[in-house]
Amino acid sequence: MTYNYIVSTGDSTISGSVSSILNKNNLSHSSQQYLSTKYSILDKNGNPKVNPFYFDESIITGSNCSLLSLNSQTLLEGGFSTTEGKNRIYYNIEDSGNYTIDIENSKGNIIFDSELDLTSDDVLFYDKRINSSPFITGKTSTSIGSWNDVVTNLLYSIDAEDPTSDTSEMEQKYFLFFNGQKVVSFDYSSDLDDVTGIAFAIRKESRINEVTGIADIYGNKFVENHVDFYLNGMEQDPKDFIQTNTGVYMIETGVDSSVFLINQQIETYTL
Amino acid sequence: MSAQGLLFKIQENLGSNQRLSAFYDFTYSSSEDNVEGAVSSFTGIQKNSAISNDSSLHTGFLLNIVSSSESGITGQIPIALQNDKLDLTYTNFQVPLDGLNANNLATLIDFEFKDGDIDDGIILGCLKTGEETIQSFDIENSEGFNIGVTDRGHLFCQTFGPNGDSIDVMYSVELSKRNLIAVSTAESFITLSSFDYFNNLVRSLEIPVDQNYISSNSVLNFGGSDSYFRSNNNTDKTFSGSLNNLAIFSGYMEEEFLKDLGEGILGDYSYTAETETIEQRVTGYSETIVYRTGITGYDYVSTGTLEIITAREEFTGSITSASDETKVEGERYYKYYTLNNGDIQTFYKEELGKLHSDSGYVYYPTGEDAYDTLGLNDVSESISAYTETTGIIQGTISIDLFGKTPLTGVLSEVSGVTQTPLEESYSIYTLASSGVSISVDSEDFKKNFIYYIGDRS
Repeated sequence: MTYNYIVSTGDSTISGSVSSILNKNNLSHSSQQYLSTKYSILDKNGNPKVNPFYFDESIITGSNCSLLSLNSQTLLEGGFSTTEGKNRIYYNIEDSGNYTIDIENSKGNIIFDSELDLTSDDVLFYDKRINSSPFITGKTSTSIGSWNDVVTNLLYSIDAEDPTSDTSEMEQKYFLFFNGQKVVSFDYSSDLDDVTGIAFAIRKESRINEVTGIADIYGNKFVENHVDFYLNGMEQDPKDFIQTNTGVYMIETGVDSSVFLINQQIETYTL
Repeated sequence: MSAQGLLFKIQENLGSNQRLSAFYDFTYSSSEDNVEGAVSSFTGIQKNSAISNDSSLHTGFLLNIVSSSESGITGQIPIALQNDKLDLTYTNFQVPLDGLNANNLATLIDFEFKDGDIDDGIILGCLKTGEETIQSFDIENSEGFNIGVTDRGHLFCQTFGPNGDSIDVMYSVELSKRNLIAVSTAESFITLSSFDYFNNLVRSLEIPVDQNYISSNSVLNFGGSDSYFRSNNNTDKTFSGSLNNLAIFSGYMEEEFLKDLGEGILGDYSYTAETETIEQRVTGYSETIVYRTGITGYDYVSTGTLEIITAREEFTGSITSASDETKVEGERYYKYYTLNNGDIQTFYKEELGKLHSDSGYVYYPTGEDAYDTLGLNDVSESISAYTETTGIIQGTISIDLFGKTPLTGVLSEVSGVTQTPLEESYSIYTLASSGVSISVDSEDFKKNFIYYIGDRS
């Protein structure tokens, strides 16, 4: 398994840390009241789509400053255009996005793509991130080396806006996601050659530390609750890991805590 | 700085320090201030802070620093208070309640673990259990409570009640190396709180208690307890860490309020004095009638003179002496005369033939030639020569010429009104400000261990 932790290291003072850390792992909530909205998006059947998830508008304050994971899969934010109908104004999500944010009109509602089926049982976490547009590229080929082409395309796009000399510098500065999974290594991967989909890169925040490869990490100081954990590229619920101080005694997992007392008895049956 | 920060927060929220019974920041100044005793019994002490309501009360005792001589403990004090914190692995600490009641007070405890393994231990221990015989029955009794930490790194509260021992563990809070916690006691419950200043969180555990079983204490112990499963002696050191700050308040306090006070302990107090900036502002306008300006008259000023000839031209001349010339007899020359009749000054000349002055002016012919017939001699004599200057003069008069210059000035006709703003100076005051920022080094308040609790297969 690939363990990948991204921890916020904060500032050298508490006040400085409070002002510099970003809100992470916010559990999206459902609306407690009926909201009549003029803005809507149609589902794949042409009916007004029900988007059950809302975000805190004091945390997500605009477009391109959120990162969502729906049932552990990281979603791509797109822009949007609207079509005005007689009764409502309908969104159209652009840039291959899975969702979009319209602070002015959607009243904290996350607008998901028409194709995405959602229920209230889904789990959606959202992080605040520094405002920047994602770099997006599609992968349609399954030929050998096609994944390399995707990474190279992204590198060219990034370099045009943010001079970046090679993939290793890109790896230092950007997170890379492919079909909702976080890609830890930007190196050549024959496994990814066989897959088509959408890849996107977003800029890493400052004051973070990324640790990959081990299930438990210790020694690096970080601010509690500001940790993203990806297991095989899928973001995990913060309940799946403990954030504490070294030196505490842990109960080892995988050891059966039950004790079976077996009293051997012999019964003689007359057949 | 934490004392100033705390005092600011208390003044801000409570208006006075009346409820601050004791505060210790464990700053070491000199061993003399940290020794109490006489003759053959000396104990290390930590005096109550001057910011408390009555600093003469609640002098804390360093329970494990005792000696029969003063010199026997003075060397231990700086070790116990190294780095401005009380090392609870070196000595336990005891605060006399001096009138406070253990079931009606609040404490803020800023503590940290030592590096290495965390073992269970008592942070605040005032639980004391005992037995008494009532009507021939042995009855267990108690006073106080224990606040400690498990070796898993969770806070716990141990109490004793009618149903016996009770331990409540605060599983929801993972502790950092350094932590600020609060214990607030009321008649029927104890509130144990942990403050996360990074995320602005208060996490609390409310433990119901029977006040009859937790009151009656006279001291609070830190680092040990009279009743703990590992020890029944409050001088036994059970906690592997140290106290950075400790504040004790009279009466129960809400956890959110204690969190705010805790900011003062961890923060730096700052004060910015009032500043004054002087600005100008318009208070009104003064009106001035403006009259038209125009030509009110003319001035004639001289622009020069004009010469006018008033008579006909007249010749004029003068002579000045030049070098003498030598003339032979018979050679022609001019003899000059001057004329000066007042109006006309000139000269005239007569052309003559030279006759030598010694000739007596008598001449006889000497031959037939023309020259000889005159009887002139071949002698010469110097004559006076002159240089002539001639000119023409006319009579003139000079006339002054004048130019016409208009004079401008204010006419009696009104052309408008000028408004002039009237200004006055006024002061803008930036009010004096003060506050607390949590500038304490944050590293020890952070976490440094992530433990994955999922399936690792």
